[in-house]
Amino acid sequence: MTHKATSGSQVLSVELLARVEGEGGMQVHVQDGEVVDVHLRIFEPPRFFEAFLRGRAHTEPPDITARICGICPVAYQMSACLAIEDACGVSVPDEIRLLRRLLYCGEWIESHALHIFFLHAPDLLGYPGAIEMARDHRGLVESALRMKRAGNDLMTAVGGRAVHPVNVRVGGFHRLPRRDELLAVRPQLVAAREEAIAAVPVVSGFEFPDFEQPYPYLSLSSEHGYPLESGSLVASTGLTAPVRAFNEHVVEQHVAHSNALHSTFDGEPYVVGPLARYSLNHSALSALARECAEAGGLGTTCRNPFRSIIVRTVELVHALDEAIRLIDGWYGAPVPWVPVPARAGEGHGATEAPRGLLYHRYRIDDQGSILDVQITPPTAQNQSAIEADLRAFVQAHLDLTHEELTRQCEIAIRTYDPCISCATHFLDLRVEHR
Amino acid sequence: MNRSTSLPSRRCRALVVGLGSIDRGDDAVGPIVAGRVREALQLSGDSWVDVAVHEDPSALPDVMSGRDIAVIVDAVRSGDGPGTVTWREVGRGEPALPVRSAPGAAGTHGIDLATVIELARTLDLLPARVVVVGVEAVDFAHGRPMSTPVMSAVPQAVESILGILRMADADRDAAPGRVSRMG
Repeated sequence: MTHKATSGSQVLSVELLARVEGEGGMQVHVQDGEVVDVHLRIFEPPRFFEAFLRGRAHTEPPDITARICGICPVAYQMSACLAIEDACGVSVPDEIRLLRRLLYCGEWIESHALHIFFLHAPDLLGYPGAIEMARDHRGLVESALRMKRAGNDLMTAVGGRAVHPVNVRVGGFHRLPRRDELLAVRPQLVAAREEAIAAVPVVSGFEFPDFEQPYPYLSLSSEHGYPLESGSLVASTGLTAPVRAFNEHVVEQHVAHSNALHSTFDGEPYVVGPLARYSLNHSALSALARECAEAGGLGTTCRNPFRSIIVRTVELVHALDEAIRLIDGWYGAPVPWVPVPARAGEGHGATEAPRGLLYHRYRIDDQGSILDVQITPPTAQNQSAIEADLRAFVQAHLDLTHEELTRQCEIAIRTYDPCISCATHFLDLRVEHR
Repeated sequence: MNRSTSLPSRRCRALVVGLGSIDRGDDAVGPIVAGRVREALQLSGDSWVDVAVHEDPSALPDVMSGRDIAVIVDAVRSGDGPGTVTWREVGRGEPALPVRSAPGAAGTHGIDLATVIELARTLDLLPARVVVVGVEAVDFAHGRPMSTPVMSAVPQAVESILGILRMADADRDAAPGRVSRMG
C-alpha cells in the first residue's frame, strides 16, 4: 500500500471507518489519474423509524425518535415536539422554549467535547486514537472529560438522564427543574467554559490541509440568538424561508450504495452543521464566543471542513456561555407543559442538532394518530457533500501514497462527525484505482 | 441516568457501577444487577460501597478515581451462551484491553467501555483493582424487556459481585485472576 495513485486503475478503500457512530464505508475509484466514482457506503441496516411511527399517538414521537441516536437524542425530541405542536397549532410559552434551549446546550456540550477531543483532535495531532493522544496530551484529555461531564450533568438536571432524556414531552416537560437543581450544575459549567476558552488556541494551532467547500450552506437562523432549539431556514444562496418550506428545496433520493437517503438542496450537494451554522449566524454568537472565534483565526465564515474543529470549539464556548446565562435567568415557569390536543393536519419542525439541521414532518388525523412521517437527519443531508469533498480532495492529492491518501480521506469524512446510526435511520473507506 | 448512593467510605473505598440502558433489552442487566447489589448491601448494613448507574461510560475515569476497587457490570457479547456470567480483572497492572478501531467503536455511548478503561489507565485514574462482570446478552432492541436467559443470570451476577466485594474487603491484596466463568 505504498504505491502512488497517479496511474493505472486503483481502489482506495477503508473497509470500516473508525471513530464514527454507526457502520459505513467509503470507496473511491481512480482511473488513469482521474477520480471517476466516489461512494459513501452506508451499510448500517435501515431502521424504519418513519414506518413504525405510523399509527402511533401524536404524543409518542419525542420518546420514540430519541432512540434513533444515543449522542443526539435531544435533537430528535426537540424537532419532533416542534413538528407536532405545529401540526396541532400550539405554541409553547417562552419559559418552556428557554428550558428546551438549556437542555439542548447540554447535548451540544456533550457531543462537541466528545468529537473535538476524542474523535477529531487525534487525527490532527497524528495519533491513532484518544488513548495514544492522552499519553502526550494528558491535560487536554482530562479537561475534555470534565467538559463532557458538565454536559452530562446538565442533561441529567434538565432531562432526567444524561443519555436519552426522559423529561421531554409534547407541549413541554413532565417536570420543571428547580432553580437550586440548575444552580448546582453552574460551577461545573463555569469551569468547563474556562477550559473550552483555553482549548481554542490549542485547536487553532493544529495544521490543516488547504481545502475549501463551494457548496451551499443551510442552517436555521433564530430571533432568539445562535440557532439551537428553533428558527427558520437560511442558506448561503440567500434563501430565507419558514421550516415548512424545507421540502420545496431539499430532495431526498435513494442511491444503490447507501441505506441512507441522499439529499440535495435546489439540486446541489449542500452542507449542514457547524460550518454552515457558524457562517450563517456568526453575529448571533455570544460576545465571548465571537472573541474566541477571532482569537482562533476564524473570519465571519469558514469553508474548510478540516477547520471545523475550531468552529466546534467556538460553539462549545457558546453553548457553555449560553447555558450559564439561561440558568442565571431561570426562575421557573407557570406550567411545565401545555396541552397539545390533536387535530388533523401536518406539522414541520427543525432544530440544530450538534451535526446540523434536523427536520421532522408529521401528518396526523383528528384523533392524533400519526399517518405519515419524514425525518431528515444531518448526516444524511451531508452525504452528497462528503462524496463531493472526497472526489475533489482525492483528485487534488493523487501524489500521496495510497496509504496516506486513504488516511486523509478517512480524516476528511470524520470532520463531519457523521452519525451513521442517525443517517439510517451510516463507514469502511475504499479508494479503488482501475 | 447517573443515580448514585453516596454512602460513606469506611472500610474500603469500593464502587459498583451498573452500565447500560434500562430501555434496551439485555442492556438493562448492568443497572438491574447494580440495583440488586445496592439493596443487598443496604439490607446487610454494609455502607462501604458506592453503587452507581451510568449509561455513558465516559464518566467512569472520574467516578473510579481514588477507589481501591471498582466493579463494573455490563452486558457483553463474547460468543458465550446467553446469560453466561464472566469476570475479568482489568485494573492497574493488568494487561491493556484491546481497543476496537472499527466503526461503531464509539458505540451509542459515544466512547466504549474498553476505550474508557484504557483512557483511565493512561491518565493514572484506574484503581488498583477493577473487575468487569459481564453478562452474555442476546437482544439490545429498544423498548424490549431483558431476555429470559439474561434475566435468569441476574442473581448469579449479584452474588458474584457481592463475593468479589467480600473478598476485597477481607483481603485487599486478593490475587488477580483472568477471565473466568462463574457459577
